Amino acid sequence: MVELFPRLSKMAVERVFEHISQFSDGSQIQDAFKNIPEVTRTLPDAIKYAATGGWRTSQETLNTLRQDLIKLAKSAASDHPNRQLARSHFDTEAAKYLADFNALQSAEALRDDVWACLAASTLVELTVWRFWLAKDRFHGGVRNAFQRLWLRSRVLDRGFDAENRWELLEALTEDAMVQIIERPSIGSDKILASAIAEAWLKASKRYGRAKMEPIMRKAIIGIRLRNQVVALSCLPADELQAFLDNEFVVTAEKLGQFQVSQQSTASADLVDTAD
Amino acid sequence: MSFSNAMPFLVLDDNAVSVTPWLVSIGGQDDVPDPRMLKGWDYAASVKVARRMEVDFRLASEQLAIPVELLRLSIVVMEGTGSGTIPRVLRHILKRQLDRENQVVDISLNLASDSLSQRLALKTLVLLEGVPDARSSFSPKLQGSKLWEDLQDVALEGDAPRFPIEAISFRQCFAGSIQESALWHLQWMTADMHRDISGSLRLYVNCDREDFIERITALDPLTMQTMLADVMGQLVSRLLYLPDLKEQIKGAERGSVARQAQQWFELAFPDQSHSQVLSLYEHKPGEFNAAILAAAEVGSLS
Repeated sequence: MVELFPRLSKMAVERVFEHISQFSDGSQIQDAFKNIPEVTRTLPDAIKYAATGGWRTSQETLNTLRQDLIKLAKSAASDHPNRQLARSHFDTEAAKYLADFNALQSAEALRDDVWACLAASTLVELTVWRFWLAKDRFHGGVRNAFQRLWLRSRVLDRGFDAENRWELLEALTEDAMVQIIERPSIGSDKILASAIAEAWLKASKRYGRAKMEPIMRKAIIGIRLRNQVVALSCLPADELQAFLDNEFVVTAEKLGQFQVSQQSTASADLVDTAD
Repeated sequence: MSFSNAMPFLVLDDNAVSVTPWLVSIGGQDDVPDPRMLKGWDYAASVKVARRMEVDFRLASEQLAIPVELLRLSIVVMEGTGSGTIPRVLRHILKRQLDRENQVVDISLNLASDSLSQRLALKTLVLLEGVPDARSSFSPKLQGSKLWEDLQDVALEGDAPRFPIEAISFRQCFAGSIQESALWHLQWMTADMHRDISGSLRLYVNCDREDFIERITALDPLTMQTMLADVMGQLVSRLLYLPDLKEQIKGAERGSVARQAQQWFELAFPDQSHSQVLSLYEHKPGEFNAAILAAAEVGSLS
């Protein structure tokens, strides 16, 4: 049986966001969080559940989710005094946690309104800590504060028994993950998406992580165009990987900026030949 | 067959690939042929889908200009689910090889309902297997080339329109603000035009205005045109200010806000460049809005 999560409509999220935004100078924002259940109750049927097909997830489950993620955030903040690094570390660890959270193993996790409720209600303090008052992070969708992490873990998970299970999640840059996850024709297909991530990883070792952004953005266009005429994810795995690896190499060469240094090994940094 | 783009090689038509409509049954009830919505579905319901496919290899060989003895094909069925123009998740659920000795596939699949959300999209593809020697330079030459496809999209929870529209009480939702008496409100996030429309914007119509709701329900042409013109105007004007516009449009996915905005742009301003229309928007807004209003007569929000 499926555990049914609470769902929050877009309009209800707007009301929550307006309520929190009143405290955008930081004062009394904790009080704003406490008043959130009141705000959502002012809308009719603001929080809904699926009518049938499972049982409502318990408050205990939601509390566990909340407390564990808060713990991860606190740990990230104390281990990394740099704010950006702390949040990046939190994203990685939270994605791993959400991947294995039992109650999110069903199609409830595909619903935008479920993640909207988590970001705007259950985990709202974390949303604010991570993104302050960026509205799209409260709404459901690929940019939701936590849905984006779950989507990444779904695609980049090499498997419970895999050696170095989370290497892709730990290695890919934020831009690379956005290029993969937020492109529906790629992010929806785990076979293709994870193969692109593997190709990115290989290319990043060849050319250097710092050089990958323009390569990735160009390569993705070529891959998407090819995917329109060839069902890439239906290819044998080794053929798919070979095509994608080559696509990154060809793109890097076409950009005309990169060549591997003469003394290079597979993981050498690139010699920048641009003027 | 329903390719959204013209393919750069020879493909198969519906004479070469014959299919029965998908039969979908829920909870052991009677099969429903070619359904648009599954009533009574929930996570606990069992869902079964079935169809028969047959490829006429003689005809396929002619259409692809590939000798019949060399022609190898495969049939792939993908299950898509989750909201969005492109389903949020796509899974491969069947692959069968075909040749001239095996031209028929009977498909019968039980689907796990607890992995389905909001819709079930069944995508069927016929792909080229191998890289055979062909008689024509227009023959498909790449392993996995898409030769034929169709899509059955079934709503699982209600019959949601493709464009996200919702009726709400503005007195309740915008209490105390000037929008309270508005007829409609397009809520959208301009930050990322590459998001799927269903997730990025929503057209709220004011159910406090019964006279207005009546006109929408009746699909009154002038009301729909006026409302659509506002939506089109907002998206197209935003499109004009995107940095690296040509690159952004090139990279815009089907179903994204940017792609829809570009389509409406082409409808309202055929044969005009973005810079020309931007100049029009900034210096002759009346002409810009009139063009949008005229285009809205032929556009659609459904």
